[in-house]
Amino acid sequence: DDAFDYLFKIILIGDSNVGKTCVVHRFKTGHYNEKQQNTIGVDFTVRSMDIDGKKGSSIHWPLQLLSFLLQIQVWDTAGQERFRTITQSYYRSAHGAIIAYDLTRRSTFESIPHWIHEIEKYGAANLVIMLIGNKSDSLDKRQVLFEDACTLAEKHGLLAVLETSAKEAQNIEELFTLMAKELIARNTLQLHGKNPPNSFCLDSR
Amino acid sequence: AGRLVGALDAVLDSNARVAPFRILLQVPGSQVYSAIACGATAEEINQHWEWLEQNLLHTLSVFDNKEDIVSFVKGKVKALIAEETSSKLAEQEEDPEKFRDALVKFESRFNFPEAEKLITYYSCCCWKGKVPRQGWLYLSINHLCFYSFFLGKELKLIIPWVEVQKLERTSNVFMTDTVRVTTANKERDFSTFLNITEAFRIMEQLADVTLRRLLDNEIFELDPGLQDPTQITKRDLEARAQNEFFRAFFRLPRKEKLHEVVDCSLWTPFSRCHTVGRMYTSDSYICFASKENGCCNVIIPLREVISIEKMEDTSLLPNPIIVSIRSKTAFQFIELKDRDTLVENLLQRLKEVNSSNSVHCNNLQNNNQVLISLSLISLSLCLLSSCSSISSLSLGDDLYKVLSKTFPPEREQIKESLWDDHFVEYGRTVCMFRTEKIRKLVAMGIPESLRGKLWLLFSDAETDLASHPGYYVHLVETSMGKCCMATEEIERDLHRSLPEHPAFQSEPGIAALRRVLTAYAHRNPKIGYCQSMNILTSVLLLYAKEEEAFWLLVAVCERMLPDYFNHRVIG
Repeated sequence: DDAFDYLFKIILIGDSNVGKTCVVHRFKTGHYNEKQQNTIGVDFTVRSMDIDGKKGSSIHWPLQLLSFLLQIQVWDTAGQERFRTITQSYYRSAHGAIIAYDLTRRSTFESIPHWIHEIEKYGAANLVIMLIGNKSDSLDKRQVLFEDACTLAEKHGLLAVLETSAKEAQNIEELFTLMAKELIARNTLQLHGKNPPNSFCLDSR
Repeated sequence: AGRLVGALDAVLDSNARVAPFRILLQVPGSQVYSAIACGATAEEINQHWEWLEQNLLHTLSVFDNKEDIVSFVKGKVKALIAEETSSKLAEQEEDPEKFRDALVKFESRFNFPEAEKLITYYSCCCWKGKVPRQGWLYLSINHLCFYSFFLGKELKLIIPWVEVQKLERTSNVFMTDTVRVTTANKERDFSTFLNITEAFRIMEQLADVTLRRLLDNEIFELDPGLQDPTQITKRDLEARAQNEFFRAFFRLPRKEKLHEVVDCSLWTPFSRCHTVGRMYTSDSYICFASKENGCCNVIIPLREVISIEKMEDTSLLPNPIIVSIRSKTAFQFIELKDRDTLVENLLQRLKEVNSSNSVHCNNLQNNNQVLISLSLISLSLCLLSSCSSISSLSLGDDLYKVLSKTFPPEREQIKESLWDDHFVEYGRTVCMFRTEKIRKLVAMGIPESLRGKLWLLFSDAETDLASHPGYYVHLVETSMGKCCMATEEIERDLHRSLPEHPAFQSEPGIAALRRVLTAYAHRNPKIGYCQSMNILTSVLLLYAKEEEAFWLLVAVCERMLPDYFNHRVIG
C-alpha cells in the first residue's frame, strides 16, 4: 500500500439515474452493466492508476517528465434528494468532486448549481470540481447543449466539462486521468490559486 | 489505606426503641461510629447491606483519607434518606412542599428562565476524574444539571439535552451501575442512584423527546401531550416509556396504546405447566410475556378472538379466564387480580374491534363488486393493448414461479419439516407460542417455501391484511396514473430493482412493483418513495402475493423501522 505516490478521494454526485454508478463501474472494470441496481446511500470503489507524463498527451501538463502511481477512491453516492444528509458527510475528506448530469434530461442539468452549492458548503475549500454530461451515446435525445455546460463550468470555475458515455466507454478514462493530473499538479506544485491554471473543455468527439 | 469497616450489629435490642438491625460505619483507628442503615428484620437489613456493597463499597478505595470516607458516606446516606422521603411525596407532583424546595434550589443554582421546567431530581454521584462527587441531579425539559457541594468545593454542571449524543448504562472500575452521558467533547458518569432504572428511563425519554422536537415535528410523530415542553410531567414520560417498551417488545403498530399490565400465569401446553408472566392489553391486542426472558411470548390480535370468559375460581386454578381464538384453540390465563374489571374492559375493546371489522366487511362487499367490474374493464383493455391497470392481484404467484431455486432441495426439506413440527406443537397462526426455539429456527434460515407466510406472521402484516379488505385495491385504483415527484422517482427505479432477476425483466413484474410502490407512496406521503424500497419490494414480491407484499412493506416502513425511510434519511 505504501507503493502509491498519492491517494485521492473523489466524490461522485448528481441527480438520480444519470449514470453515476455505471461511470464508476466502467472505470473500475472496463465493462458496462446494463442491469445496474440503484445506489443506496454510498458505494465505494478503488482503482490504481498509472499516470505517465512521458506518454503522448495532447493536454498541457507541467509535470511531463514524471510518472506517478496513484490510488483513486471513488465515493459513489445515491442521487435521491433524501439521501443528501448521508452524502454530505463524505464531502469533507474528498480531494475532487465529479458532478454528473444526464444530457438527455434537462432537469438533471438544471440541478448542477445546487450540487455546486453543496460542495461549497460541505467540501474543502480547494476541492477540484469536474462536470460530466453522461449518456453521450444517445445524442439524438440530447436536451443539454455542450456549450451551455461549458458556460456554466466557466462561471463556477470548474476544472473541465466532459461529455461521457459509460455504455460506449467515451471519455471515462480521460475523465479520471484529467482529475488525477490536476490533483497531482496541485499537490506537487502547491498550486492553490483560485482559478485552476489550465481550464478547458472536451466534448465527446 | 483507608477502608470501610462495616459491622452488622445484629444484637436484638429488647427495648425495641431503636431498630433491631443496624449497619454501622467506622474507620480504622477511630472510636466513633455512626449508624448508616437500620432495619426491622434481618432480611431488610441484608438488602441494605447488599445495596451498600454493590453501590458504595468499591467507590471508597479512591479516597486517600478516612475523614473523606466518613464525610462521603454520611453525605450519601443523608441524601438518600432525604430523597426517599421526598420522592415518596413528590412522586405525585401534587405534593408541592418537597418538590417546591427542590425547584427553588434548582432555580437559584442554575438561574434558568422560568419556562425551564423541572421534571424531577435525584440524589447521585457525579464522577470527576476518579473522585465521586455527591450531589443532586436535576432533570428539566431542556437540560441535565448536576449540583454538588462536597469537601468545600462547589460543582455545577449543565448539559443541554440537545448536546447529548449517547446515554448508556455502564459500569466503570469503581462502580457497578453507572449512567454515562456522552456529549461531543466529554463523558460524564453518574452513579449510586437509589433507583437507577427509573432515573435512566426518565433521562432517555427527555433526550428522545428533545431530539424529536428538534427534528421535524411533522415527520417524527410525537404524542400530542409532549408537543408543548412546558406541559411535560414525569408521569407522562414514564407512561410513554412503558408504552414504547410494550410496542417495541411485541413489535406492535405505533398507534397501539397500552391499557393494562397484569401479573398472571398462562397455560403452555408444550411445557405442560403454567408459565408465570405478565399480560399486556392494548387497543387491539392481548399480549403475554413470560417472567423468564424469552421463555414464552404470545401475541393475540383481538380480531382473532372469539370469546373471553371467566371460568370457575378454584384453589387449583385461581381466577382463570379463557380466551378462545378462531383457529379453534384457547388460552387459559390464571391468577389474574381484579379479573372482573379486566374482562369487562377486554370485552368492550373486543366489541369495538369487531364493529370496525364489520364496517370493513361491508366495504369489502362493495369493493368486490368494483373489483369485478374493474377486472372486466381491464381485461378488455389488456386484450386491446399492453395493460398497466390493476388486472390481477395474484401477480405475486407468477413472480414466485420465476424464482430461481438456489438452495439445495434436501436442506430445504429438512428445514421445512422442522418448521412443520414446530407448528404442530406451538401453533401455526399469529397466536402461536413464541419461544427460544423460533429464534433458533429462524437463525437456520427460513425455507423459501415458508418465507412469505412466516414474514406475514412475524411482522403481523397478516392482521393488517385481514382487517383491511379491499384497501389495497382501492389504493391502487386511486393512486395509479397520478403524476407526482414520487411516481417519477419510482418510474426511474423500476428497471433498477433486482435487474438481474428474470421476474423484473418483463412487464408483469415491473407493473406489480410499480403498483405496490405507488400505492404505498399514496398511502404514506410522509415517506413517499425512498430508494431501496424498490429493492425491498422486489424481494417481497418474489415470496408473497402482491397485496401481501404491500402490507409487508407497510410493516417494515412503519412498524419495524419507523423513522428510517423519511424525507431525510439520516443513516
